[in-house]
Amino acid sequence: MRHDPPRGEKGKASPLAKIFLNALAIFLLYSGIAVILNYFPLKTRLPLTRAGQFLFHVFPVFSSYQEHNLQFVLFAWVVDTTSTKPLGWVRLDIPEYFPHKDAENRMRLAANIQRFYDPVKGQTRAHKSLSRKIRARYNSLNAHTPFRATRIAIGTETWPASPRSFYALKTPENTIAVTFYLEEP
Amino acid sequence: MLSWVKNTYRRWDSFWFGSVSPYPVSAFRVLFGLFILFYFLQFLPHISLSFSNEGIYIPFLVGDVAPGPGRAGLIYFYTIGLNIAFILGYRTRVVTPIFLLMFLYHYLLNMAVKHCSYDIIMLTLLLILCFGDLDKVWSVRPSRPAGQDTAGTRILAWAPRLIMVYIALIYFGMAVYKMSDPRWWESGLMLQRNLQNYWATPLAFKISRLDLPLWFFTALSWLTIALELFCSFAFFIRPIRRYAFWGGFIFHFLVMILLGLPEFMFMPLTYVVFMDADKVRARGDEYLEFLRKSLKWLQKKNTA
Repeated sequence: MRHDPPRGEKGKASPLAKIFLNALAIFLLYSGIAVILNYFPLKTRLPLTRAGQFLFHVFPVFSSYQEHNLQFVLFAWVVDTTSTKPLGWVRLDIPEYFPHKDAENRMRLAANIQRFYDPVKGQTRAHKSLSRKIRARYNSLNAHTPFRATRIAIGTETWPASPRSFYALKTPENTIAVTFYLEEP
Repeated sequence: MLSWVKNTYRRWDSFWFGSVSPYPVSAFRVLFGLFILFYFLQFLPHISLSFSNEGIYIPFLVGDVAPGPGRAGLIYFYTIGLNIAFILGYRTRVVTPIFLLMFLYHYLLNMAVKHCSYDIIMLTLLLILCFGDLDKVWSVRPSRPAGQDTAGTRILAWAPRLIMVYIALIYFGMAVYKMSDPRWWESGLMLQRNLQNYWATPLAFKISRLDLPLWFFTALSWLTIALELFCSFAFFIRPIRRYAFWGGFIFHFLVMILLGLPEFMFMPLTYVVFMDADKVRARGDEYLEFLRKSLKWLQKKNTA
């Protein structure tokens, strides 16, 4: 026995609900089609709302690659509260702060969405707030010790990519370390 | 001209506001709900670190609004509770929008920062489901008139049809995007290098070490584009849709094992909405019967 209704049978929706549901369907369809047409092949410039653009910014999956591998590194400027001498820059263990997959951690540390929607200041603003949280967590994890973090640095390490493995060519002489963000003292 | 407009409107109206069987969308509710549950449970060991003001999170649009660890845990478990209610089909007209809001809250607090496609697609699907009749069948509290047989139950076509069109659009858009970038279709470099990037699994590197010629990756890129284009229309054509389902499933399975991304495995779950209602109902009832028998067997074993 078939359970699909006969053709033309009407469902139940009030006129007001119909207006709303029509508008939502048109919005979704239009936004999707406009995003597609704006890419290719016509390279049109169809108007798009921010929401529409956001909802359909799903097509460029794995749409870039680099010849170099990159990973983020975190450092804390640590002082010993029982002495006047600072301990110096201490490298932090990323999984203690970001307990996700390595690739996901990288996207979080890159503040991908902030960088996309506010290329000028988005990432810096995100890193500023992130540094404060990392510092607070370091100090809470080390509450039983005299060591306190006073500044956080977010950096990157890059090295040539290799088909052998992700870290195959990560040697001291191949690796370039860059400080990406340094918290104000 | 006027009759053309009238006909078009009538077709549009009957496409969205006709009635369909509730089984495919209810099956999708259960499968998608289970998927989101597993997705959310990955945060369980790190609730405080992910969603509280003692954690490390980068919010998007909402500011630093994370509450203390206790309250963050409560909000998290409330969301899990809503998720379970959604799976069970309990008052879905009320539960689904609240569940969407709670998902959105966690997303904006700590998931949006990644800017990943799968999160956005999942949120959009949940948004569509907010306006669907999800609890007519396979529900702990079916919202159909008393005495009405499940076989005669009909729902508004809007939500299942919009999911179908949306999913087709996603595959089509992904194919078009790949066609717009020569690094995909001209040289196959994009695919080759993505199997060596920070997402690549040990299996992907094993393939990379085989040193396969670039034409192999070019051919594979074309195959991917062709598959995505095929899926975008074949889902709607009964005689060939099973090939699109298998093709799509294999594609997402490969993404999972080569790029470590099980997150996209909800896409094959959406295929159930395209399937014949009778088949979905028969298969679903079989699973339910198996579940019932298994529970009875467990009960007997426990009492023995």
